[in-house]
Amino acid sequence: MILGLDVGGTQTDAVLVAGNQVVRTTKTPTGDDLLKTLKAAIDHTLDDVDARQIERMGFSTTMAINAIVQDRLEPAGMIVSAGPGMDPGWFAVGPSYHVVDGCIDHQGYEVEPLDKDGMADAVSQIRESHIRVIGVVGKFSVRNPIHEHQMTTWIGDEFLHLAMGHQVSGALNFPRRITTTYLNAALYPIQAQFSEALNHLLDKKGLSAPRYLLKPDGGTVLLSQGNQSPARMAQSGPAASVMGALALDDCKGTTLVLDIGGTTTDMAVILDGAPLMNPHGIRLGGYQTLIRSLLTHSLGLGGDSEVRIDGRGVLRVGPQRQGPPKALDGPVPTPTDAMIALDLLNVGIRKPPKQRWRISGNPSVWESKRWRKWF
Amino acid sequence: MADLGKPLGMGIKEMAEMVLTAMAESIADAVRAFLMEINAQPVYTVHEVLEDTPIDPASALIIGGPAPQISQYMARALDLPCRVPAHYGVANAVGAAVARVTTSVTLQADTERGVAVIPEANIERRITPRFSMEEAVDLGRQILEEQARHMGADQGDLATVITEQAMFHMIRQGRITGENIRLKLSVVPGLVPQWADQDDPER
Repeated sequence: MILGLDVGGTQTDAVLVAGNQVVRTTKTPTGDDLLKTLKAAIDHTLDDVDARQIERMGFSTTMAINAIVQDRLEPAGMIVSAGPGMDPGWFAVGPSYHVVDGCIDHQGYEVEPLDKDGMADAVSQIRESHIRVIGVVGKFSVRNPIHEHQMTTWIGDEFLHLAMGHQVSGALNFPRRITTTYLNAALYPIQAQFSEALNHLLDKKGLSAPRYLLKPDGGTVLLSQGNQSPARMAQSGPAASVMGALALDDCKGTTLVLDIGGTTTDMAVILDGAPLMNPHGIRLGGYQTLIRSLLTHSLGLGGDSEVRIDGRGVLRVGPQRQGPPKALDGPVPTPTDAMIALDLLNVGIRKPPKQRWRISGNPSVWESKRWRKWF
Repeated sequence: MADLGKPLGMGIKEMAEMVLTAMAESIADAVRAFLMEINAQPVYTVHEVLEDTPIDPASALIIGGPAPQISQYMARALDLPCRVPAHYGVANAVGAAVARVTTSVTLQADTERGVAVIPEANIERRITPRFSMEEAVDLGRQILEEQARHMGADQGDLATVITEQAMFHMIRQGRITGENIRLKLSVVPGLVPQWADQDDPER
């Protein structure tokens, strides 16, 4: 069986898949501690299942994107070299950004050797700032990575992690390459820590099957291979929706996929089974990257969004979410309350008419198993 | 709902209908903006670049917790047939479970400089002045498959496609000095064979 797990903003969904059948589904509230959430979701899902029956595991988590949007990135030093043309100072990122002389042209010929003294100076400044991770980028390193290799050799192994620009993507886009390399350096410590903790958790449960992480392009990578470029796993949620759509439906013709959640609605388009791709690279928080991704859009609107009448008497839904729906003891009315009022949904406390009654189970979660089918 | 509807002189059900209609309309507005943005530039799938092919969905697949409840409102707001698959509430976890490994590599060969570079895999190879597109595709595919296996792909689980392929002469002072080959190969997104190869899919 395959264990699949998707950490969402409000809920963590898990499934067990045997062949092409979904044999178990669970929902667990997403807490502040990602590992505790994963542990709870796994316990909840595996329950009586023998760990040896699990042959593969796939995880889609919010780990990296949360670190980016909550500004919990490790300070990363950056050393870039370019040659003539745009001033690389324009693309400065991170607390210790240095430009050194040296030039490879667009064809890959060395025009000017790398400035060894400049490099030594940059490295000592980064070292003095007590920075643990570092990124190196040459403007045409995808045509000839020799300067990035030289930088790497000169820097040596004193840093916890070193990210190289040419490994990010084959596309020529210097600003996006700098940003992506920076994120690969700055995300390294928390990604490595997360992998270690997840490995430990799974080992303890006797789950020894291959462990995969989902990427925003709809593909996966082994957890053990993820640390080298952690930015490429950031923001996999929308890709999880699209791959789920492909798994559960033929998606023939041109299909719009809408994943309507508690806080957000993700949208994507599938053309005869082939999802549309983002032509440039994914945007992660404020960072434009070269990371391959599906073309998706997230709208801050879902079942738990706030419903209110604004100052001009117009009905507004979202984008704020103030908490759970009102019927589940939340502070404000939401579309979920509207569904309850219309008898479309059978959870929570319905206030008017006068009697107050509580229906089935744990009302704080969308528990699909407990829903009555109304359609 | 009652508190919300009272000032507007509306009953609970009427108000609730209005809320779901408004929600669906907001989503539909965002969908139309998204489609306009898609259609303003060439459209890429993993297989091809589509110029002048308008993206105009014929149907919508609704997933996520409230999918069955909102589906009829979405159908009205989008003016599209909407359907809700089995396991709509955990579709993304299904996606995480059954998605297979993807990767892509870019090969740039320059016969004048005598080198082929695949930056994503940290590969540099000396090449002869006669290095051909065929050899480039062979090398690219070999490295792509190695990389995919390294990332965890199983044998026989590799649908590879060439997404970009170009070759042009390099000319200096009116003379052809070499060939430049550019190639992009990908293992495309797809479902693991355990799921995809079954005869009786649960759909």
